Amino acid sequence: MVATAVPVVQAVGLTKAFKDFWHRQRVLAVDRLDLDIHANEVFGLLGPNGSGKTTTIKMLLGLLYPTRGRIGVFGRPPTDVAVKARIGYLPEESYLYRFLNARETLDFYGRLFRIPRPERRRRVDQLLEMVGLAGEARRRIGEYSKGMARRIGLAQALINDPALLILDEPTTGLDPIGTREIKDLILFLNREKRKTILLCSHLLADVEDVCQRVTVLYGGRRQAMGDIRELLSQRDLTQITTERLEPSTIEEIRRLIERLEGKSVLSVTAPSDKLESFFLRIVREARQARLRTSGAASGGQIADFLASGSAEGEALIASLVTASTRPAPAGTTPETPAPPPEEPAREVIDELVAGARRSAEGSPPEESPAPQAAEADTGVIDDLVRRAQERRAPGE
Amino acid sequence: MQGIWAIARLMVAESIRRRVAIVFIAVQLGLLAVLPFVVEGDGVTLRSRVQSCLAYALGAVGLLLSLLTVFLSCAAVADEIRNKTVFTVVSKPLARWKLVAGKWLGIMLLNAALLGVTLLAVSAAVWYLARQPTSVPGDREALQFEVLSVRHGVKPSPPDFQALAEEEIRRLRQENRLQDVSPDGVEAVRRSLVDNYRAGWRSIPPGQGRQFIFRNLRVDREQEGYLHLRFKPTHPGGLSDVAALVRLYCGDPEDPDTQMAPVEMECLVDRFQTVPIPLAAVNREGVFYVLIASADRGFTITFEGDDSLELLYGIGQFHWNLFCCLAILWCRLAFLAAGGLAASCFVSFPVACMAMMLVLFVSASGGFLMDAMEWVDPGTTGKADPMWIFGPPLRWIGRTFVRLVPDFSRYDATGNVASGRLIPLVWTFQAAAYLVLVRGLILGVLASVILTWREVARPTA
Repeated sequence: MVATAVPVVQAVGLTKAFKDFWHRQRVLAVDRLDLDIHANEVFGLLGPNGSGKTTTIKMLLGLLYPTRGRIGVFGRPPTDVAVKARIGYLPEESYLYRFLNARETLDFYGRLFRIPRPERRRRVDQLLEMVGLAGEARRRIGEYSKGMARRIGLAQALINDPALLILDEPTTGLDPIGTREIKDLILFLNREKRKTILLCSHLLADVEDVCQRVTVLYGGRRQAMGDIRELLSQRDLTQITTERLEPSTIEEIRRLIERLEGKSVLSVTAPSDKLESFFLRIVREARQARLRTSGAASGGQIADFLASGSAEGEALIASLVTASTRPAPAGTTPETPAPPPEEPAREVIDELVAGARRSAEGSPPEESPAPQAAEADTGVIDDLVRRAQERRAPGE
Repeated sequence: MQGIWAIARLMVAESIRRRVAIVFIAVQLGLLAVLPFVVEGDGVTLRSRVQSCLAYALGAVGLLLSLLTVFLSCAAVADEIRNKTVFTVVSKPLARWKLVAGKWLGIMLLNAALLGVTLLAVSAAVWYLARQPTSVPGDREALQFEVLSVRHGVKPSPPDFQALAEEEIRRLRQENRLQDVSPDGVEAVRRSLVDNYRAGWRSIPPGQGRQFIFRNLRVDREQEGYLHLRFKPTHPGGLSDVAALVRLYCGDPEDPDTQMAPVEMECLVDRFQTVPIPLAAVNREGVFYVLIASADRGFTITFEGDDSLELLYGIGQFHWNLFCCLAILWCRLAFLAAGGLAASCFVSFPVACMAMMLVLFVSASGGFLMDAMEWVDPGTTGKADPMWIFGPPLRWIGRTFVRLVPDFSRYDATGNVASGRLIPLVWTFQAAAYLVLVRGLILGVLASVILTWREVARPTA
């Protein structure tokens, strides 16, 4: 992922001290944090509970004001109302109005972005379909399970087709399928729509699967920051993966390595399936067997207004950052959605498959800029293709 | 504007779906439905029954809607912050003042709807009562004229006391009774004459008469119809169980067309009397003359107070008056909503509620509180301060607070509705200007500044 020179989010010496009634400093939640989030990247804010992740995000959104330091979003202070038209925010818990139903909720947030009524209705329908709540759209949110509330929270964060998506613990309360779908969505929005995404989580697997760069916070201070592959790579180890070998062959290889390199083999194991993959496979098989379940349905296809239209990517972000130097009318969304294609799901998937092929063929694995991401991508594409085929089948 | 409108719609939806609002609405509707059947009035006349029903209904609706407005406005922002729903709202492109404005608009739309329901319910109650049987002669006519119409009341124009005094001085000079008096003495006589005339022009000594002039009457003398002269004679000794014999000569003394036959009537003192007078008694300039003579030789009758002598004539429909009364009530609610929102922006719901209840109490009884503070002020009583050294600062705080809070008794037109008096449009405009545009706006700006300045999130680390 190529980063533009001007960061979408920039924090310098960001400090937040919480004070008591007598203005005595009680907690230093964030301590001299420097942060740069570039356009078109998925940036992870990682840390245990109470490490200052959510406080940082709240300062980014103008919900809290920094005690010291400077913070800019698209080159403007976070309190600037116009900037917020380009941001989608999913809080750590879905703080939604319990007395509204899902459709009313999305319609309400759509109104705050001044999206015209026909467009708003279209987006609401597509988002409800996408997060698998179309069948529950008339139920009050107070009656929703945590996972369902999470899904509708995500939908409200996407209603304005944001250029910067801030997700605070997005997978909390979701089952593994929902978690996988959110991660797929993050990857899709980042790769195809060139969105900038700030993901805040303490679930390491989430961050590892989707983020390109991370900052690790502890005690409000930055402990590490950088490219996730670089941070995780173990340069003094080499792993060879082949199909199953006979014990005699393994012994032969062991001897060869000792002879040529003078080093000993540390371990030889048969790799086990990841629990997540195992779980997803079981559920997929059950679904194919037409077993019924209650609650939210599995997520549908990506909403048209998110999937369609040309990805302006860097140009868009650059224009946003440039535009930040001149006043923009409040409530304008950065992108004007193009009319929906006739077969959006097919187009999206075709595009994704083509993109994945290009990246797979284009460069050898050891030189690939994002081998882990590519692996995740293939999984996403397989899943999308399979789902699209399943969905298409009854109609044909 | 779309953002404000979205918040207003949300506020209305929230109010309707919250049980507290539903309870208030149910109580209000139940009360309005039950009142016509339980209110007795004086137990005799239909007029009094309708008047009592109107007074109780409007009073109860005013109180209920004030409480509802306080609860809703105090919860509006505080609950958003407590439930953290404010996170997803202020992270959208919505200026914080628009959040406050939208909440206010939502509450006031709900109030407008409830006042609309009140208008319909009260009209229905009055319609029902007006059709009930009555055995008192003239009761139905009295109900029609004194309650179910809008009457304009005109007070008699005072005579030119200076001119009268001047004429008296001239007469005294002609009689050479002022020749030994210095100019200062003449001036003292003139001043004392003016004071006497002013004090005595509403009094009629026994066996004498006094002419009262009512100007600027907007009536068509060619039409069939009546003016009503309403008066309450009082006894100088404060007695209330004696009758006075009064004779009325109506019409312009210089225009025979307007002159009516004299009316003689015996009336109990300290009671209002209403005498119908044909419209033809008004002259072409819209002036009505009446000479009231005390035919009784027993005592001087006096018309004390501003309302004890006036001329009333119908100029409109009861519903218009009711509408104006409810519009003034809406302005009061608008002020309360703005106050509740301002409190809600920086303190929690219970604290905001307590503060606004205090405001409501003071606004309803400000005059009494001021009097109460006077009674314990050593400057007035000459006694030791019962609150010791804390007295002066406490009284200062109390008086400042009472002065800051509007006196709702100045914005209450219930009495006019019940007595069929016109509520001047200027009252409504005054209420709108003073309660909504000035105080409401100041509180709204205060609320917006507080909400913009404060952090809406709380420490979580």
